[in-house]
Amino acid sequence: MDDAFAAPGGTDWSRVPVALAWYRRLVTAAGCLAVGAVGSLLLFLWRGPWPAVVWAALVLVAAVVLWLLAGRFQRSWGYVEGPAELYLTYGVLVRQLVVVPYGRMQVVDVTTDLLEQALGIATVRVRTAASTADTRVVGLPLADAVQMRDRLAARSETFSTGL
Amino acid sequence: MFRSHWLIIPLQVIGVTLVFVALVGPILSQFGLAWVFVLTVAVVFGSLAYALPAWWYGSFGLREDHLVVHSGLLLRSSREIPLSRLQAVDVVRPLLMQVFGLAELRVELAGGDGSAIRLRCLRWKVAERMRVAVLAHAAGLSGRAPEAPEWPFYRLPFLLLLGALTFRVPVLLSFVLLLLLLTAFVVFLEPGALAGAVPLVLGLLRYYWGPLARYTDFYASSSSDGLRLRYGMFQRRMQTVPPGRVQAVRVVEPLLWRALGVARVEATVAGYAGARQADSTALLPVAPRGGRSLW
Repeated sequence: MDDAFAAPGGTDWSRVPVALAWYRRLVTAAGCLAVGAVGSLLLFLWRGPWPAVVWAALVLVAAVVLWLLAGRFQRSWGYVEGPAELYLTYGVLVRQLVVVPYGRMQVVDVTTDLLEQALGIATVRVRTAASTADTRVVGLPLADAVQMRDRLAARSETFSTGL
Repeated sequence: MFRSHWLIIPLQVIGVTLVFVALVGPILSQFGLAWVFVLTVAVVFGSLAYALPAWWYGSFGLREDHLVVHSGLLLRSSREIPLSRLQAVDVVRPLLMQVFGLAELRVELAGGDGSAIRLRCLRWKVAERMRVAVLAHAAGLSGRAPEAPEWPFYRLPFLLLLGALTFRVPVLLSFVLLLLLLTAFVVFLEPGALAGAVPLVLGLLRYYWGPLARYTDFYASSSSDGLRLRYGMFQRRMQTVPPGRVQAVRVVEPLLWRALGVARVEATVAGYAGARQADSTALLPVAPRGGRSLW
């Protein structure tokens, strides 16, 4: 099983920093807080106190599970800049391994939202001509992300093939 | 590095305010006009407080043969585009922007809907210079290369466009139906006839007036950096498709056009995805049938 998702020959996955786990935790905490508060309030107004308490407990359980899973999720991310392709793996329940040849990259984006800026991380997004497949490396430190963007953009030029 | 023209700030603020007044105004006016006024002023200053720093931090420029675009305030993003990958370059000038001498530069890439680069509100000269530089880099020349010479090979006369657009079965049928409905309304004074006319008028606006306004004043020329198309009545567009970027060419001859001996030439370019695909694929909206030998 692990062989299928191992890093390509002779390399190790570069992992992303723990900040990504904290980013996920804060986002899920805020989301669960909003869903729990609004849901409880509506249930309290319509159905009385007990359904509201049950709803709050369910949301709390979901929040705790997601909080614990955030660490595993962060550790599941990995990337390798191979000689001619970018390898990427992620996912806890559904594991994925994506290979993007440098020559097929069309655009390289770096985005960072407010929370990511506060944590000092950024997302590098690689767009290929397949408009559905969206390849991202999340949670890289900002400086690394900028360097990676420049490296990828330069390589996509060198390995140019078709389109 | 360049930056958009500062006029983008008042334009954005006015746009946001108009949308706010149009959508929320009717609801708020129930509470009294003072509320509408206070909230409108708040929206004006709020959008100004966002648009000003967003304009200041957004920038773009060429670094070697890459186009680098920084944008956003809350969600900051910086994109780097290898220019050898670009599929087409458009300079678009809507009517309002023509008044201020501004233009929008669009760089189409093959990455689907979200990958087009739109540089809004540039001074027209800057947009033209950027287009020349971007195309030169895409062809592997240095950015200082002069604009490639172009040879005009086709100009669409307005009367031919008007005639060809009119002379189609659906358009003729809807005109006849519209006339019938209007006579029915005049003769019988039946308001139901007008209700039937509304979808017809909408359809005619979309499929008759739309292409007519879009392709008025159509020029096509070829140059060493690609096909160049200029067209538009209110919204002037200049499209450049570099050589080798056309994935497929299609010649369409509606039934009645065969009698006229004209055809429409369409092309598929990888860059134009999603909603823009239908817009930008017509290479020649109306051309004499012999013209397809050009391709």
